[in-house]
Amino acid sequence: MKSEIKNLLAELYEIDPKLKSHEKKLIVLIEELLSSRPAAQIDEAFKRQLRKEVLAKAKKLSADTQENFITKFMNFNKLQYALGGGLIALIIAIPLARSLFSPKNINEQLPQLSFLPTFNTVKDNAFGNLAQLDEASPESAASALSAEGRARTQSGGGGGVGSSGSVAPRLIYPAPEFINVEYLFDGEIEALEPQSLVYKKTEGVAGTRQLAQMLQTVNLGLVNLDAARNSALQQFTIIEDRDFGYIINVDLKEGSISINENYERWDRPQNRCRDERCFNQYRIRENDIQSNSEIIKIANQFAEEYGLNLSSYGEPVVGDSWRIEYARAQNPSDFYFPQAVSVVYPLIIDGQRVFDPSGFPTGIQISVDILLDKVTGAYGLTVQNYERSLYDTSTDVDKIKEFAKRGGMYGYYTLEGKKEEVKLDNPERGFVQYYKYNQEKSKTETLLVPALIFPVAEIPKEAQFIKQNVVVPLVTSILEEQLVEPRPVPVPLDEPVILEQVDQVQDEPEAAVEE
Amino acid sequence: METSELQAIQECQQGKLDSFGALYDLYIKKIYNFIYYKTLHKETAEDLTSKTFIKALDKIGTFKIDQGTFSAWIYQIARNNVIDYYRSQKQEIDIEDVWDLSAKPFKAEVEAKMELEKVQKYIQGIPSEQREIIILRVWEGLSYKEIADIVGKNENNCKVIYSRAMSKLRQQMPLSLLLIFLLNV
Repeated sequence: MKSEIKNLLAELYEIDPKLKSHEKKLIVLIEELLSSRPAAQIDEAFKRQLRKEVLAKAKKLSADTQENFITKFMNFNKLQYALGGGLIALIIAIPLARSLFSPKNINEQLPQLSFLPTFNTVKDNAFGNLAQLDEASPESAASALSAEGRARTQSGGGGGVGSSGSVAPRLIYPAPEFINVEYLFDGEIEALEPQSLVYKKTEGVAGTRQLAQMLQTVNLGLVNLDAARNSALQQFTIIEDRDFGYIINVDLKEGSISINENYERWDRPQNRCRDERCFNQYRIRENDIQSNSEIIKIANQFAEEYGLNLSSYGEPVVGDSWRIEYARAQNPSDFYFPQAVSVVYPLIIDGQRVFDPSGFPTGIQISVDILLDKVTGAYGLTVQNYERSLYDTSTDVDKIKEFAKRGGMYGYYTLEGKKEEVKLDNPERGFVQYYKYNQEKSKTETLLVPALIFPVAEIPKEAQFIKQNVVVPLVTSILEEQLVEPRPVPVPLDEPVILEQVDQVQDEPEAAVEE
Repeated sequence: METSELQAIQECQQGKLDSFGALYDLYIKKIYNFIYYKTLHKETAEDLTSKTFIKALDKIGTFKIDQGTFSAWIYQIARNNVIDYYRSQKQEIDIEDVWDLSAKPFKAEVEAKMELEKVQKYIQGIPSEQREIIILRVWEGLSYKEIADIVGKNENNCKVIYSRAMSKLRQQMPLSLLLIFLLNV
């Protein structure tokens, strides 16, 4: 039997197992259906001709719409406006600015600066071992869990406290009882692949030499800019000199843009308050906070006005974890509501959302002021250039569930102590930001690692600390390492610290460092 | 979605529309076949295929990567073109594809009459909704997710419709056909 027929039968039985009793008839039927598929032979000449026409149209459309974020943002009218109120206008003659910053010139000077993801495929495992301890073997990592390792008192960073010495009854602070939260998922995990792509963010652009050279021709009167050699423009700032205007910082080296409120022109009456009554007058109440859809609408309008290209970003998500805190607050009348709320447009890679290690979507972030109904800033506007490489990924459902149970990335868990169970919903397949220090280059690299993101089904009100999402990275080396490495558990000191000891430590810091 | 496909889409959305060539190469045959199955007429299929790709090129900026696959999106354009085409023929009967028209004279002459008869034997007797899903699954080899996006139903719904249609076809299958098969086994 052809595999095509087998597959079609298998899925039919999955949908309706009763059909299995009619297998012979079904085989005939599927064979007949397949053989009756009309012979659609595309004419090769038609195919070539249409391709030619489509590409000719594409070329024409490309020429008509040379408008990406930068060109849209820096079109001449806006720049002229900024110059009109800013300091540059005093220095640079308008005709020169006109020639420098015409959309055509900007386009030519900044062709590399695009905020949509680009990918360069490199060989498998190209970013080295992704475990944090490069030389880590399960044995070495596990040894860190040994009784000796765990008993080691932290030292350095200003001095630890020895565990020897007499114990006085006067304690600094009673150690709280730590309750483990176990995040349980009892559903099925499907479609795990043995290998998946890992993405490594590459650097921005080096800066633009041509723009620097043109600016160097400007006579500042104080310094001869033209004397600078092998120069490149790395950063510049544009301000909107108007009420509720913005400051836009462009960093060509990092390949990032940040937009912040021009604080000199943002009038907030509460900033002039000098007494409690006045502060209370402007204190945000629950009913001041707009619905999520209204907050998103404000962010969308800003994105449209400033030409933020969001086509590689997903549906916006409002950071409203304060609602959970508010619902859990013992005294809601004392609750302080946030002045600004973030709207995140998650970056989409391979059709999947990117999350930060806490499990919240990450990408372009727009901050909305609750009282003013205005956007106060936009962040995460960075060049998205990536190298991508295939890595082994775990298909071991038990290990994935075990790691999820411990809280996933940055979870807090100890094998001892009280436990509280929390259920997880079906996971979403996505990517999680993962940072790794590169010894050779002496810098931290940002990677996007395939992961499962499990939403917490219900957050118990009495829980001490709980996540909204649990992230399980799927790269085998990371998962294996994190399953065995000692987790950062807030373990109470073995012996209580006495104030006299602290005084002594402060007087003799060297002596306090154990071993 | 394949990463090369995704990259081509993203580049198109950045304004580098020459990357559309990669999408064209990936989908030209599939889309042509899909339209041909619904028209069984070479020139009509070519005309509607051209319209589909030109429209996809014009509208690629509106395609949302996170809201579905490019495959489903372009099939949807093709499907709408076919529906518009039949509507423009001003047939008064409720039509969705060529098989419903065979009993009546039709402007676009069906060149593959034998093919049509062969197909009709099996799938004309079932509702067009079921027929479309069978074609997309069995002939086009699309996933249920893609089918769901194209026909505007949810995935489970499509699976149920498909299994019911197959069950119905099985019941309608002539005994002679089964005997021939069994004797050949």
